[in-house]
Amino acid sequence: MTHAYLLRKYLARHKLRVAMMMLSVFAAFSIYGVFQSLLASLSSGVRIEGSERMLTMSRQSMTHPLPVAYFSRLAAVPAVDIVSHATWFGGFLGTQRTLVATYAVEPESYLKVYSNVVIPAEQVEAWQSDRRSVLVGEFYAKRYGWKVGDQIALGSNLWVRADRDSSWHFTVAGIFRHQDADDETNAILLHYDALNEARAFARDTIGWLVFLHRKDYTADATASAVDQVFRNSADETRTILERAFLETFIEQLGEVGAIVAAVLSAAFIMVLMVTANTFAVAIRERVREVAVMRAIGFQVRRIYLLMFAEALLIIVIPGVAGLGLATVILNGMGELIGFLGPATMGLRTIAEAIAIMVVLAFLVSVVPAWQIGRMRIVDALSRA
Amino acid sequence: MTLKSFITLLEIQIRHLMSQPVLAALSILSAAVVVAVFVAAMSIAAGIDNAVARAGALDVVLVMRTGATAEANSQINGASVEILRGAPGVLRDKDGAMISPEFYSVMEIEQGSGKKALNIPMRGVDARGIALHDIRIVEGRMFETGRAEIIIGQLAHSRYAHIKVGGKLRLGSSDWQVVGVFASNGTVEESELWSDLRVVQSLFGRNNTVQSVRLLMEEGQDAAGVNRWIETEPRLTAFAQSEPIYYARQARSLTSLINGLGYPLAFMLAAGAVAGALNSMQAAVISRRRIFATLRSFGYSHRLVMVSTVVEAMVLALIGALLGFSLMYVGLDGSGTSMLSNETNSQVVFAVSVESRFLKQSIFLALLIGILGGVWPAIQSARFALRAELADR
Repeated sequence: MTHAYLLRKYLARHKLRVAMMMLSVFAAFSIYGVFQSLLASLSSGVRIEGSERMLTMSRQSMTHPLPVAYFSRLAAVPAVDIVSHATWFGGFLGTQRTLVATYAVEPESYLKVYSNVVIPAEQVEAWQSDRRSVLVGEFYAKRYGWKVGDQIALGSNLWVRADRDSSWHFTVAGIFRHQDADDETNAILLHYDALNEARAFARDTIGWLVFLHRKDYTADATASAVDQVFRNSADETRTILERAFLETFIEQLGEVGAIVAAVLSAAFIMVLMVTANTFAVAIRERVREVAVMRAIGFQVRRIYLLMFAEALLIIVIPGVAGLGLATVILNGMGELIGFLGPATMGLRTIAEAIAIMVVLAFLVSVVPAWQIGRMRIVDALSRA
Repeated sequence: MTLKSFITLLEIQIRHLMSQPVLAALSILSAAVVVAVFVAAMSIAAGIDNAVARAGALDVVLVMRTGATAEANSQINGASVEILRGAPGVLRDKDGAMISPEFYSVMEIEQGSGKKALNIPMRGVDARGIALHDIRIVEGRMFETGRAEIIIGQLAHSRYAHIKVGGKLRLGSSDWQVVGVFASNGTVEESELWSDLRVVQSLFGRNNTVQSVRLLMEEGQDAAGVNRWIETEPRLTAFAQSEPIYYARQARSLTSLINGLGYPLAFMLAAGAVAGALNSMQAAVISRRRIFATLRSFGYSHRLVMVSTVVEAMVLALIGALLGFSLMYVGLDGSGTSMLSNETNSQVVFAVSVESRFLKQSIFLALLIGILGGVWPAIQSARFALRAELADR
């Protein structure tokens, strides 16, 4: 009698029960996969900002523009190391108006400030030398099938061209990734000049400045030094760490997010609880059978292993399939969640999910099995 | 099948249920989870709809810059506002066309120590604009023309404890006095701060640019007529739409998260929970197989045993549904909450609304869970043969 044979028999004994347990686990982990990926994509932005990147924006409101002259004025501040600037383009694709995160940036300095961007040097040069070209993130390149050299047309829900043309045409000069493969690459970078020359209004303004501060200045000292420079001007500024800014954003996502998170995690736990209980009951039903196996010479350890293997099969197979479904759901959602960007399932999420599955399998099999394995064979055999 | 024997049967089932509290609890829990998740999703969506989708007046047309998806990313200069005064179909009185040019911008407001800043939208309106909107002051007074005074919407006021009537608020580089609270039938306008248009424009250095223009239309006149006129007017880069349609679109963008994510997940969860309920019921039935076999030998029919099992499953699911609904009702109903709008990048405040109609849907859902989770165990329950069961011992 091989282990595989025994396992097959175990699984075939209560086909419906096994199928139902698998369905529950499948459902639970598809929810887990979607939800964790969303959370991870939110915090991925924050995590990479462990570096001291800072933002300077209008004190009035982050949507209020700043004069482009602030770029050179900021560069002259002693605490400031490398500085660049960006402007929200409000880009969208096609008649469905699918939003794409598009920034008009200062091309010479932007990638120096965002040094976690990975891209071949010749693509950067090609981009910098052609103001009608863009860099696109790997995520968008894959999703929309863009290759280097492709022509793309974007609409803007923010800017109107002076020539009244409603679409903006660009060449894809390069495709970039991030150093940490789990970080989202949903961005399109175009030349600030391309936007500034074509737009009908708000010429020579930028959205915000982004810079690295010098090591010998703290973030706080840098922020007040920068804001002091522009104090009492028409456009006063507010300078904060990019990390802090993103945290504000996430916090503001609001309590709706918190309610949804609470309800879903409670539900995830409960579905698993019901399944775990069913499994534990199924193991306890085998009191007599385990006693017989021990009587004919099975080692207790092998019995535990068999049950653990059974639990692994019932939990890991549908669990992994559930993560698969989660990927499909995440793909289908697209830019539904807007500025949060798309979420893809990172390796970290998958690893965590599998860890949960293994621990769960252990808890529902070995723990109840241990209880019946400790009984004296005679007692177990006489149990109902 | 007599009613009496059916009741006897149910009694036996219930007595056994009592002796297996864990299995009963699992069945109840499964149904409660499904109902709670559905009720939460529906209540949040209903809250958003109440606040956003119902906003706007049928006789008001909203004009924004071509391509703008929300007031926050629209811009209309002073010259265009003057041209819009001549739009056809607009109501006029002795002071001219009844239009309201409006400033709209998202303000970052500090919440005090340790807390993150909030993005709250601010609207600047003139006297005519106030008359165009259906608002009333519920606390304090209206702002005075020409002064840096603010009134705050009721929903926002109840959410942000640090903004008090009589207090000061720092916006940009100037201080503003909060002088009153206004109500607007619980709509999205109550998420906003309002002030005098001219003051806002000058303190924020916007010259005479506004974000949108609202036109009060004569009866029978609509946005289509305004758009036809705009096409013949080359100086304008704008488009018109009816105010309710604008707000309905905003609501859709907010609820898309719930529709696109909440419901698929709730559905998956329901499938998982039904599977759990089925397993619990199945376990319960198997543990009672000797009783079923005995009952059958006493002459209870197949059908009677089956029906009583399904009824038991439905009763358990129903208890679960009531539990799930009550938890959500107590925990969520009326709780003020807010959500960051994708379109305007600002907080939309609304009250989660656990409506009584959801109770009916919860009960329906419970009965469905009961049937789905009970039928197969019921078929099993009627199959046990007495001889086999007794011989098993």
